[in-house]
Amino acid sequence: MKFSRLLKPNNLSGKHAHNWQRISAYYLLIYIPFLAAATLFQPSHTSLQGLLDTLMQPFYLLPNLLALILILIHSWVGLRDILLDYTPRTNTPLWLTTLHWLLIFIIFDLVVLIVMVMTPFESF
Amino acid sequence: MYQHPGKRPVFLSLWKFRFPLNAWLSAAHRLTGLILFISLIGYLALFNLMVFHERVSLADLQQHCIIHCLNSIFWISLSYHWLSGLRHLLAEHFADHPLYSTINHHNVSVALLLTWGLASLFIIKQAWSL
Repeated sequence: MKFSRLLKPNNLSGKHAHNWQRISAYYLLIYIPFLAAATLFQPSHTSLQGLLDTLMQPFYLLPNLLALILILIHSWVGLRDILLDYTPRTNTPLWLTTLHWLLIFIIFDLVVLIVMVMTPFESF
Repeated sequence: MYQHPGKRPVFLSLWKFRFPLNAWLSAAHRLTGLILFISLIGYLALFNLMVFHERVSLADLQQHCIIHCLNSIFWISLSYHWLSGLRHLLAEHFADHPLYSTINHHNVSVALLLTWGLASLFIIKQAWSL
């Protein structure tokens, strides 16, 4: 489906979105207690480098990256549903466009941050 | 769908309706989802600050009351969103099962709220190191 078609409320498929919402929800249902336990039982980090070293371990890296992708999908579907349900129909495409650009900006920022932290940098 | 013959919008005050507890819980699930999204943008902004601004350190941020507030709001919202999300998934999974009525029972809603209340107290204690 073309990106521009996603912005028209009539072209939005409820079933696909709902399936993605459920798939991401099942993963996050397991991931969130894992995140809570990791936050509670891991010693508190005082430097960004220490935190990054922990996050880069394979035990954390893969579940965290997968969770990040699924959180973006989950929030996209959830916020899209809120906009479809509560915004006046004449303004809905504008709100959807805003949401999509916000998510694109967040993805871009996350990619920049991941590239930055992967690059050795002495000031951390 | 019914339309007024004059096509005039009809204002319905939501406060005049008496919603069941489950309706409030479902609305709160959406509200906490929205709060979580805003919180995540907050964490992303902080992470940007640490990566791009040399003077800002993780140790400094951890002492700041705004971080305690952000952590409290994030985890309290997440705990509610997780609990009510679990209930939504169970209700969908058992849609054609006798368990469906149990999952949607008023007592289960009250138990969910009590669990969330206790979890929130624990989160506040942890976030503010009480």
